[in-house]
Order: sequence, then C-alpha cells, then structure tokens
Amino acid sequence: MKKKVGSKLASSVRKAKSKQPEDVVPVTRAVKAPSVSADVATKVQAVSPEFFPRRVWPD
Amino acid sequence: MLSQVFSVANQKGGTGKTTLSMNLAVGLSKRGRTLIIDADPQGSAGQWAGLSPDENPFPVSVISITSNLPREIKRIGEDYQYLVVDCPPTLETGVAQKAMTVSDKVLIPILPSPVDLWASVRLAEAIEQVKIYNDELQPYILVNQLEPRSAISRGMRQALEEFDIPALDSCLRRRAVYRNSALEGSSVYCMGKRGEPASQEVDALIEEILKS
Repeated sequence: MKKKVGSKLASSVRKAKSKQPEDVVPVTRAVKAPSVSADVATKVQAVSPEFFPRRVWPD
Repeated sequence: MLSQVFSVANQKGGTGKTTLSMNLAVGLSKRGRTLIIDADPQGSAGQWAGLSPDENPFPVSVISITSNLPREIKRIGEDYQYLVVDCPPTLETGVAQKAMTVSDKVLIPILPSPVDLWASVRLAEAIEQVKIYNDELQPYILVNQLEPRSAISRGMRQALEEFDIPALDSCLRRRAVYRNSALEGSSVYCMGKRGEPASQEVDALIEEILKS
C-alpha cells in the first residue's frame, strides 16, 4: 500500500514538473476595455515592471 | 554577530509557515538571540505574538518588514544570532525571493497532500532563480502535519525524491497543541506536558538544520 501510494504521488509530481509553463516573461498583456458593445475593442496595456518579481527583487 | 538567517517559505497558503516560524524561533532563542521578521503583509506572526498576555509575553520579538527586506535583514541581523523570516504565501510580490537572497537556509513546509506537492514544484524553480544571487542558499523541505497512519503521509518520502530539494529527516506531526499555542499567543515550548512531544520534534528539527 505504502509503495503504491508513494508511487502515485511521485508520478503526480513528475507530471506537475513536466507541465510547468515556459519561462517566458511577456512585456505586454492584452486586456479587454470595458464596453457594452458586442464589438469589444482590445487594447494593449503596458505591464508594470513590478508585475514580474524577478525584475525587482534583487536589491 | 549574525549567525544564521532562516526563511520559511511556500507560495501555497495553509502549509504552516507561521506556525513553523514561531515555534522554530522560540526553539532557536534557547540557543541564541533570535528575532522573527514578519514579511507577510497578512501579519499573522505579529497577531500570534500579540495574543500573548502582558505578564507572559511571547519569548521572541516580532517585527514586520515587507520592504527593503535584504537591507533591513543585514542591518538588524547584526544584533542577533538567529533571524527567522516568515515569508508571504506568494511569489508574485518578490518578497519571499528577496528574503531568500539574504538567507542561509530556507525551510519549505509541505503538507502530506498531492495538491501541496504539486504547488511546491514552482517554488523549487523560484529557488533555483534565487541561487543566481545567493549560491550558498540551502533549501530544505519539511513535511508538516504528518499523520503517521495515513497512507499518503507514509508515501511522502518517495514523492519528495522527485524534488531537487532535499527533505529533512525531521518532520512535524499534526498536533492540536500547535493550534492551541497560537490561540494563547504562545509556543509549544510553553504548553506544559501536552506541548512536550511537539517541542521535542521542533528541537530535533533545529538540531538537524543547525548541523546541515
């Protein structure tokens, strides 16, 4: 039983590791402008550098 | 004078970071001057210590610092032998990473649950990034709230082998006295006989991390 559960857990961790997102840092993100129109315009908004911890945490 | 800085981190909430920080700090204070830095904006460590009665205050001081953490740790740390940093449950603000850049060791409490294991995968990657700035950082996984009779708890060792971070031999069991000590603004060391098994396992943990 111990081995079976341990194996399942280990396998699930391996899957979680393999599903990690690409380490790509975007510089912009698209957001939908609030609108009642069905034809909602999309605009690109600059993302604050604070959004990306790695950009700010080294002092 | 500063001897060692221990960060307690996990971006997942509810893994026992503050409980570990508070009891670890009290255990360390028996070995040298210790300070708790509450780096979590939720302020749980400060709230915990604030519940202690005036006639019997929490044995370790808690200060809240969430900005300029590396600089403040270096400055304050000169007066203490041990600093314990209770990190926020997120990697998005960079506070936990900042704490780790000036830490000797980071303890990562993980509950014996699949969800907690999966969530910790990302933390392991963040630690690798921190090591670019602090290549002496020693990370350790600590199994918290272990239930020895649970099959999942018993299977944790095998699962933890999948991480590149070593798991400590010591673990903390699931015990009501940890929660009760928070309610009293105290630590398991001050809970009399019912706190003894818990304080013994915290002492064992301290011995292991001080030797490692």
